[in-house]
Amino acid sequence: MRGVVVGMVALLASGCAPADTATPSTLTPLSGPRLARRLSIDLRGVLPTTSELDEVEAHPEDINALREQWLADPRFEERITQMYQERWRTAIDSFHATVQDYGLSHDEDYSFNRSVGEEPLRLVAHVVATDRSYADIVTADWTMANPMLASLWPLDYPAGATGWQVSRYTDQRPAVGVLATNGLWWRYNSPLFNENRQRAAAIFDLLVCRDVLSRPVILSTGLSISDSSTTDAIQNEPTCLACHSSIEPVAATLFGFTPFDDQSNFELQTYHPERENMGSTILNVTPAWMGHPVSGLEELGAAIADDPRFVDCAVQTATEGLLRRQTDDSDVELLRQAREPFVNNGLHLKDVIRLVTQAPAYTVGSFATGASQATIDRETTSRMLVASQLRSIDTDLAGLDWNYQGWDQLDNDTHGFRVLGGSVDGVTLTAPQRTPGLTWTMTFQRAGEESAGLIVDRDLADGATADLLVGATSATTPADAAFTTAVSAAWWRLLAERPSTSDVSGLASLWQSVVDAGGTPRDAWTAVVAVLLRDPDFVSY
Amino acid sequence: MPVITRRDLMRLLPASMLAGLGLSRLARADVGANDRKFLFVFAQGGWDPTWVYAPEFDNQYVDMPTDDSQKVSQNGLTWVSSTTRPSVDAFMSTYASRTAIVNGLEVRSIAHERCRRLLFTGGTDAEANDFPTRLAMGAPSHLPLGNVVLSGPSYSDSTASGVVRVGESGQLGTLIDGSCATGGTQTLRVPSSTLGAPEDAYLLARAQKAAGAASAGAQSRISQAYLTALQDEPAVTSMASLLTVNGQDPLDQMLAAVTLLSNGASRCATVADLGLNRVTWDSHSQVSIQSTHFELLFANLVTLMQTLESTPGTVGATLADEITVVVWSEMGRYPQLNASLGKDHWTTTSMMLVGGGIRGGQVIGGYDSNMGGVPVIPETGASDPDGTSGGVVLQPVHLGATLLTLAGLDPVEAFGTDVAPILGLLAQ
Ligand code: HEC
Repeated sequence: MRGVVVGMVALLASGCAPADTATPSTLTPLSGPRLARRLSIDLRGVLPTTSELDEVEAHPEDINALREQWLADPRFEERITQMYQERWRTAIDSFHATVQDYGLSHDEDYSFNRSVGEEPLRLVAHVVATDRSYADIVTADWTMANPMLASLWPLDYPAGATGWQVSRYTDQRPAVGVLATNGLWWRYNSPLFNENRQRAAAIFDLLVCRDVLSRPVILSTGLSISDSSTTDAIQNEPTCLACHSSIEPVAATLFGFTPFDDQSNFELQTYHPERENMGSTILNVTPAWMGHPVSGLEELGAAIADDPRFVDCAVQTATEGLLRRQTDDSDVELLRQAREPFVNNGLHLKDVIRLVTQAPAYTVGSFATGASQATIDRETTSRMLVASQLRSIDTDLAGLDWNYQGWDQLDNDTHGFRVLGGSVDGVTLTAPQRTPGLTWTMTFQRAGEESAGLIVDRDLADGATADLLVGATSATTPADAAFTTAVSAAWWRLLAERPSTSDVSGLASLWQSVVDAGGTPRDAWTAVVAVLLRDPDFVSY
Repeated sequence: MPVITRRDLMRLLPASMLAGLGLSRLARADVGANDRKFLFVFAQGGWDPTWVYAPEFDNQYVDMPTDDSQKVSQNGLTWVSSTTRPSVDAFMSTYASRTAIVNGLEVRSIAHERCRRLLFTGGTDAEANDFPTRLAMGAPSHLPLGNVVLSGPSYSDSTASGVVRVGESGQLGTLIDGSCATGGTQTLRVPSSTLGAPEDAYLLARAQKAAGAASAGAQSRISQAYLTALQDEPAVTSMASLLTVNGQDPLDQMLAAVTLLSNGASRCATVADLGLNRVTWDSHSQVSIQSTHFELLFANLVTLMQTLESTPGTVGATLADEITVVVWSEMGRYPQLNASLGKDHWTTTSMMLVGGGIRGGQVIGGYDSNMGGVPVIPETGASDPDGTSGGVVLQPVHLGATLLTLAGLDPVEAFGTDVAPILGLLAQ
């Protein structure tokens, strides 16, 4: 569907109305608290606090103030990073250059690989979070770096700083935002003889949502192995030109990133301005963006920023990230609406996010009678949490820190459970999982049990001010009124629903069964919290 | 043309294996479509067919191996034989009657990620089920581990169930037994099975209630799938030991897959082969390493087939009659060497089908002078070089249709009427 939709949005922008759009009237929104929960997870990666839930329960319209607050929350930047990872897939577990190549210890494997892979995502997220123009992602003269990257690459990372900071490369690379990040080009690298074509294809896919590879490539029909060279065919054969006429001129701008020796850290990490012109020689083309000649990479960035398809693609990427599904023809009107404030007010992606998160397609919780089967099949009345979201939610609720030899277990595939927990690894799994499977269920179970233990240790400690099990102590049993208070508070906070009497008594009998099975009261409390952290209404949103 | 003699065979094969040969030729009982199981062995990175499947010695524009490679034909198979790849010869000569080679398979892309999706699903749709998932979901009854992915790619849509990834280092096993964080800085708290039982019961009831109350569409899909997964958990937990395999060793994984398939846990399994030192098959430089990759792969396939032929099947004489082994790679390699003595990407490739339901002893398809695919008549498997007799250039989707047919599923429902299964590949 990608590409088709973009085309239609451009059409709409030029004034033609579509014949057929979805009928939002058949979409019934979630309750205020459940909607707040969805929004908080999407914008901050954590659950709403109890007082936020109380607020929207009493005044549903306060969701608008909360949205503004959450868009300004420091965790919003992290969420955009995660959302873009699902689409850009740069945070992979290993790159051509490794920790060993840099003489770092094995314990730094995770930090090394994640830092590299997140660089372009963090740049986008910083642009979005700080209300810069989205065009900056291809025109900025800075990148984002952390101490790990600063220790590896030629970067002017601020002395004494910590975490991800705006930094600049010191090797004279052009000001083209993500197009000048090592992270993007280590992920989408250019193996021998690929001549930066894979990178060009990534630019089309990620920045203008144009999937060059959706058309079939059949080499033997366009290329005679007996006489022509590949280069001849690429330039002369119509079947090859169909793609390569747009790929080659973009690939030609990227030769400053071509290493002469892919075993050398220096070659791989450094920009080589003197190689920029090699591209047009090797590929025998004039560098260009969609038919418009450019002088080199810097002008390419500017040309992309000016392309209406770049804007459409941003809108589409954000919308799909929020709706947690692909967009299709029936979303054209929504995409058009979301595009308007974006283009009119300086390309702030937050404007798109504001608009989409108020749209019926986002707020939908069920269908009114009369909804068409197509609508029912398409709209995401419920979304499944994936590992990256579980990680930030459980960390916030319980201080979960599940790691193995330095690897965050909910954020890697080498040892951990990122893919098993429904997120993408970027290589073999390129779209997040949409419905639960067995490994997902088990990942959520283990994380839930561990988090429950942490919460019980914290909340039931003598004299502790409980965060979740409000009012309970280690001596509280289901016979006490404090039991009802505590589990009701936890249910509200975790599920954004008020428990019924039978919900409470269900937890009370679970508590009792654990004790009857020989468990301590602490075990029983842990079971109560663990099942809430695995509840069908917890694991979906 | 050299032909491998029985004496060659004796030299190539370990004695234990020869002993098994008698058994495998016993009358094969009727294995029904519902009994079919599939093991996908995926050579990741794009293999070069000229080392085994494509003896294109007569095509002066194809750079063939420069070792003592030669074309060998025996029992209906033709392959590239070399003393540096004894296991290839051993495999081909021993299992010819069970093996079909497919040449000239047109994948239609040159980018790895895209090719993998095309190979496994037959198309480019980002939300389509791959062949293993379709086969698993089409099983007569729901299998908790219907499609077990020991390593390698897997694609499934939001309705898929029973797709289970074991993880790169076999971490699913550690998730099941709760040891998933030991060895690190912490040990996870995992309730004992006695204390965990009330939790499981409570949650199952909650999930049942949620599935019952869910509104149509996504909410219902999610709650239903969650319920199914919770219900499947005990069965999978009981198989934890089978799932704790060495994530780096393709042979260990193949043998674990055989156990899962043969004990009824799974209908499909996928194992990736990354070649010597796991450098993958993407040989842009020094393509000669593929000789070693193939030797190692075929040595594993020999062991695999020994196991299959020496293990009684549920309905068939042996597992080799029930399990169909699909050996494939996402692309081929450019016919000529590049300046680094490697080979770049090419859109046609070869693959191999072995075992249950396959009409062995044949090579289907072929390469034309330009290393494109020769059209094949699907009903018979015969070549139709000028395409005048209804022949089509084979694509992965035809393979998918063929496997679905073998499993008694409807390829038309999956891929439409334009995609004919290659009946010529199937026994009977
Ligand atoms: C559907 C679009 C499309 C068509 C048609 C197409 N190509 Fe490509 N080609 C690409 C893309 C995209 C890449 C970069 C892919 C990658 O490396 O991930 C590429 C890469 C290549 C490469 C570098 C491959 C390597 O090994 O790294 C060569 C050579 C090539 N194409 C030749 C051709 C020839 C010759 C033709 C015509 C017969 C052709 N292509 C037709 C899209 C196309």
